[in-house]
Amino acid sequence: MIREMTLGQYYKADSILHRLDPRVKLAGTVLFVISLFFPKNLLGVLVASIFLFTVVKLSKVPWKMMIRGIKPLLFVVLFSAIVNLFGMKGTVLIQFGRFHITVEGIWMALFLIFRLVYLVMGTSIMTFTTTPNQLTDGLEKALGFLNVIHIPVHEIAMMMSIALRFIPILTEELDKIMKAQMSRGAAFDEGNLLQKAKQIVPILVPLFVSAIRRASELALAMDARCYIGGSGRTKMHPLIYQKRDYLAYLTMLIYLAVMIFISFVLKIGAI
Amino acid sequence: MSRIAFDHVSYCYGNQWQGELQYALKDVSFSMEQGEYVAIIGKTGSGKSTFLQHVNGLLKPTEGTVLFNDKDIHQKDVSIRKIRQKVSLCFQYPEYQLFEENVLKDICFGPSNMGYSEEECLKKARYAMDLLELPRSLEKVSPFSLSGGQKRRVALAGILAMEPEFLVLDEPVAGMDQRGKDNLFELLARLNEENEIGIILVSHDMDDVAAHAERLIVMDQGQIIMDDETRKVFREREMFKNLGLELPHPVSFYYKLKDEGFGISSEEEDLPMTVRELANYISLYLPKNRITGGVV
Repeated sequence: MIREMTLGQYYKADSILHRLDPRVKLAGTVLFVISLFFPKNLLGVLVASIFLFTVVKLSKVPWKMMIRGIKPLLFVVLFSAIVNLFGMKGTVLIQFGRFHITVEGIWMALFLIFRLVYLVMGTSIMTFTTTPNQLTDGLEKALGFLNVIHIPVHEIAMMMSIALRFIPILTEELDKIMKAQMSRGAAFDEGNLLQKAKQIVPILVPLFVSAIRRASELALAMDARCYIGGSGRTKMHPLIYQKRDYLAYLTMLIYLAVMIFISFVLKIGAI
Repeated sequence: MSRIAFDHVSYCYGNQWQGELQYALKDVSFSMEQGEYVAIIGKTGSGKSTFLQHVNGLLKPTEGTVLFNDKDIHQKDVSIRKIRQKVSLCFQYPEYQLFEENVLKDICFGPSNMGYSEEECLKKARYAMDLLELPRSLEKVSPFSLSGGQKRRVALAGILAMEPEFLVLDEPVAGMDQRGKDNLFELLARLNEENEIGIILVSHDMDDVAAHAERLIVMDQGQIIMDDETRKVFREREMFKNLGLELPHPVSFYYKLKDEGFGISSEEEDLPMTVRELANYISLYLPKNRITGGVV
């Protein structure tokens, strides 16, 4: 189940998107997500699709993997689409009993599916092409100005990257603990809700114990190497904008301009 | 007498995205009777752990079958829990699986999962505590307040309390001091001889393996490349060299002596498996009048 989740996973490949500065990708993702809320007509959807599909193609991430990332959210997407389908007032298309489907409802549902699916795809293309460390590096640099108002940006970024780093370790640990308890006859899918809840205890207690132990060991190791936090600290891979990064920003702005133009200036086929 | 068997077992894990499927086990066939003492050696990543996890059904083979008393353990009418009671698996660093508020309760976890009454669980738990020489005064103590060695013994007691017919151990002495090791191996030998528990042991320490196991399985790249009496396996000097595995100290010392022309070179000599056997061997070839010590 945990292994099925692709959202937040990194896909190793050599593509232009992998090489981009993480700040560009962060900004790009935020702008793309915002742009998804502009279109009120199909042309906007088309432009967003062309943009997204080109980016996916450039990233060299297989389509199979992109689609798998959407799967866990399928239920949420379908549920909200159905609610919208029946919930809208307007021109009634089909009526049965108390329920009715309207033209507006269908449009609303379709746009909702488009937004949610593209939102997930847009953000996962960022995580597929950026390692967690690059991501926190990018965030740290992009939010560096917050230092002025005494927000410890470096420390927060450090905590974030440690937390991310520990996810695979804890997943592995969880797997091992589950297997060890299964070897002692534990079963995790039997009985009623209360029994099931009780069966989690033999997993959670050792998992927490080990997480805390690892955390204190890491803290000790960092202390032993005189880690003192952000001030005066240099980077192994300092983030410096290249030509391709400026080009990417430019592309992003052009895309945004097109989307705004289509959605707010041109008013064809609006609903 | 129970029996474990692997019939052409393969296990694949793979990264569907990057394409290649990898074999962690490849066409492994093997069988052992209750009462045998088997050790598995091999480099890291040779498939030892995957092998162990198949024995009690934690992993399901991609191809082939795992049999317990000639019955496929993954068949629907076979209770996997029963199998896991009879074939107990002890992971590396088992102390990390402790979770209960006191030692006695933790040891009772296994038996109570197997459906025994509270009274029976307590009886089995106390029996296991005695086996591991854990004093009764520890019963009501939290397992998290114990020392590392004691934790390990409590975890082992939790496994032995299920009264298995086979005991499968992954690096049971990792991180233990010499005395703890000796005690544990003594216990394993006793369980093996007196209680006729079959033992499968994975270890990196060749000296331990040579001194204790009767039968040795060598694994490499997911395959069993040798399965024979321990003494005979160590004759394959070349194989050990090629696999990058070490020989036990007494054996490599014996070979060094041989290479230097010590002793009478006959192929069918038994290799010394322990330091004591090595000493006895050397004493055979020393001029009688020069023996002063009490090497027997």
